[in-house]
Amino acid sequence: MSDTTEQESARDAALAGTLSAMAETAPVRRRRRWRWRGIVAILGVFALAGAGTGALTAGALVRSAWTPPDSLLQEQLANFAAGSTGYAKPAGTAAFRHAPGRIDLHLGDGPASGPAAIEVWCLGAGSATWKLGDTTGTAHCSRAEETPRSQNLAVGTWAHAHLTGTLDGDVAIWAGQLRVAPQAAPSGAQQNAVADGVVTRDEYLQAWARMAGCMDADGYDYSPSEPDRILLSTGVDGAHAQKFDLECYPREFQDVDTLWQSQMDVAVAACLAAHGVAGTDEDLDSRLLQAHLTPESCHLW
Amino acid sequence: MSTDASDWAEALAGDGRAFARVFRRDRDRVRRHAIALTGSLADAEDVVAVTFFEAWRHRDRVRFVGGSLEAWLVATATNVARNLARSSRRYAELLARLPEPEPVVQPGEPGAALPAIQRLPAPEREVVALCLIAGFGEREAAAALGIPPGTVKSRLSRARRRLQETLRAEGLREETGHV
Repeated sequence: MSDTTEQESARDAALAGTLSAMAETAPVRRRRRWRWRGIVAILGVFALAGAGTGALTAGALVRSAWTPPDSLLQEQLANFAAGSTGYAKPAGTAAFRHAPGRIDLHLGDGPASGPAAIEVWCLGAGSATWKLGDTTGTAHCSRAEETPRSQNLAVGTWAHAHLTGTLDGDVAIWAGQLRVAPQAAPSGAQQNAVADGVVTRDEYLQAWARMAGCMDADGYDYSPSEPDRILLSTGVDGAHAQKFDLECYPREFQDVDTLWQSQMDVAVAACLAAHGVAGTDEDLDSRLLQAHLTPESCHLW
Repeated sequence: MSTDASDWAEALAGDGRAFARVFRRDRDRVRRHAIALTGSLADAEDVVAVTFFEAWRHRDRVRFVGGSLEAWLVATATNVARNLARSSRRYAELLARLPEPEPVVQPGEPGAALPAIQRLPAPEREVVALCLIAGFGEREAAAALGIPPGTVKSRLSRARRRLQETLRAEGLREETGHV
């Protein structure tokens, strides 16, 4: 890739120059371990706190002088922590502080073992340093930020853990445990299907049928929308999503599905190559269709 | 031969030309995706610019798939396009300095499905954009989004169902309107 191109538009050239200047004037940032989240959850704060100010946006609120009460901040930070971890919920008594000075807090009762998280929210300029167990962190902010900065902690014994550190400026910190809803273990039938490292079409269809049966037990029809496709799919509504994600899919289909998809990716690519056809980004069935091939002619199963 | 990943590392070290190389390598894919989503060349150009600005803002959390930043950029462009007005505010000053887009390419069919896609929950919207619009495979999407392939599949399945239901419902309303 050359550094310049003669054919680009004036706008692209200007944009390339702008991006180049960005990199040269603001190289590596300090927070490399942080994971930022979307803005969706923060809107909940405004729905709760600003009942009469529905038109406020997250950014506008953060930039405004209004600061949510600490009880709401604490709740929202807990929700942020839980929201990034699948079907997790805050568990136990969390540590929270929104005032400058030294931090010396204990997490209270909680699960004997499990994941934990630290959330730091810059409501204005300030900084935070902290230590929880062997985990340390720092944050420096020059202004209010729209979402908390999150640090997930590994599964461990966090109940009664000691959070220490320092807050400076308008910064809030929350640390607490999470209770993650467990995923079902693979059934014996699914384990057998993947035991030899290869999934046959029959094993794939049988695994789907077991998964559909699991959903059907909850009164939900989980028939594939197009049963002849290489990869089966259908939808599940929100009311049944948790049962699907935590129970039926991992118990009966997840491992089989993953292996089958890998096999089919390779097999379709090989078939296309054998027929001198370049691969495309389409789904597997479309790739074959465009090349006037079929699963049968490719001997996919 | 440099890759997005190697150029990114150099950009993080302060080499502006490396960031420009990433832009020139991936802009066309992002632009095509943005045009498909917005149906407007002018909006698409802003989506492209904001997407790369966002990449730099989140430069310590971008994800590479096979050394390429494309999938992450496309996912980001999807979210930028969803609320371009809000996304652009942050970069209004930078955008104002860029020359107007040159109207040399006509956009294709306007993004007829965009309203329905916009109503999907964010996780489903991202996999739809990556897999159904941009044409990435489920495993590439999984790597770009940092989730298991099975989760991509289940989200995609749910999204397809929701989209079908939404489009069907809108079709029914239209029929009713003609009666």
